[in-house]
Amino acid sequence: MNSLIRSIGILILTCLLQVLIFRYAIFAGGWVVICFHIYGLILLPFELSKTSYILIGAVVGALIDVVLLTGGLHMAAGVFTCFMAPWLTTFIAPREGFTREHSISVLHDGWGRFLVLSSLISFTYMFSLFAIEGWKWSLLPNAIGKGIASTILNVILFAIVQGLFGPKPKSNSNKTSTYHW
Amino acid sequence: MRTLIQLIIRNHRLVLFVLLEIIALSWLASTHAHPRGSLAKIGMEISTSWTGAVGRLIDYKNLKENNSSLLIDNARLRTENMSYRNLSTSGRLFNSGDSWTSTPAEIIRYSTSFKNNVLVANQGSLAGLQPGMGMLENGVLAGFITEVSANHSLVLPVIHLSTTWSVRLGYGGAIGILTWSGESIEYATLTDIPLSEHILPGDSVITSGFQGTFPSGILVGKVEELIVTKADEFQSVTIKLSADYKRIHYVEFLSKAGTLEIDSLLSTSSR
Repeated sequence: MNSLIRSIGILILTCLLQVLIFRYAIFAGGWVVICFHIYGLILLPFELSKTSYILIGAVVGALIDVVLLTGGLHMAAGVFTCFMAPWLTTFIAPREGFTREHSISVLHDGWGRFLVLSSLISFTYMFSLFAIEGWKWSLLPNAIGKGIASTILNVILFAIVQGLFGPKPKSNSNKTSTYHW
Repeated sequence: MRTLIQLIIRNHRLVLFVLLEIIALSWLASTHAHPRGSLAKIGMEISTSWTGAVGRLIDYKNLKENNSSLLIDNARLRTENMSYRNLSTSGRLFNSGDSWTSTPAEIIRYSTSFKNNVLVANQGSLAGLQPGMGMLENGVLAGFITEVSANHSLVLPVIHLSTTWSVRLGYGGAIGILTWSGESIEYATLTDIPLSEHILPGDSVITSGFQGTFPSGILVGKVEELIVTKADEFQSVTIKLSADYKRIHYVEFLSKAGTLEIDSLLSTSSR
């Protein structure tokens, strides 16, 4: 429960940052777009039911749509990503599976797993966003290209944030020295 | 019936997913990706208040004031220019009592990197703006208002996939439909031009005036290249847009006395 509240807090924070700051982060003529709220979706704990995950994706997307005036675009992408996310998680799950309250982090799962999951979820979100936005078969290759370009930048950003603010190892050093001095 | 309910319960995640996607896509489709209604107004107010706060932080006060006064002068001069043009054409072409007036405004939020770009201007219904009014950027066609709140307006620019514009090639040329392909924000495509029309790169493309949003003769862009398919009876033309969406900031909105009268006539005829 504690990890769930923490994850929801992070999700709200990432949504706020997306709406207030990262909305301006559009580079290379729209080929590279930062969607920082995806980081909040990635960090949701695995204990969440798949239904809740889809609902959270819909609510987050709808809120972003209302503020950014994108008319259902983020909601559609969010719902699709959260529908796919449990299946994507199976790619990086260890043989014995994840514990229920587990939320992905570099400290517990390593950089490899974190980057693979971030890339898969980011690409799913960005590709669906651009594909729905274009809504033409001819623009599908364009959407794939944009999805890949945006995923690379988003994952770099998520890695930096995870490195700076992610869980840190607890120090093992004893405060009481065994030596007299 | 029971089997159906059991089937829905068994696949409730898939049902929820499909349902939410339908809601999202109908939201998208019903608005043609440009927001309307009260939800859009709330979003616009939240969004613009934040953008306004950011803008205040980075704007140089004097420069802003100078630009605003220049814009007001520009709008006044353009209105005068249009009324002179009406006077000179009314005698020989048609007896037009139309008088266009322009209202200056500032673009406080814009997007140019999406397929369905929108702009937000800092004037709304309190300044007399209404949905359907045309927008000029530096004297050239740039967009039209689709939604207004008290203090802000939502504008659809040419670089929006669902907008079409009635334009003319030069002052006596053929009339075609201008659309944006979603590729580059500098170019749009003019279609439905007969093959008999002689077009050269660099020719001006101007508004036809038939949409009622703009007077005729407002510059839209210049011909860049011709796209001719032998099997087709019409040719397409790539137009380099004159509006600079990368630097758009100060704009003017055009309104015409008598628009309501024309609208009521059109609505009567469509009944």
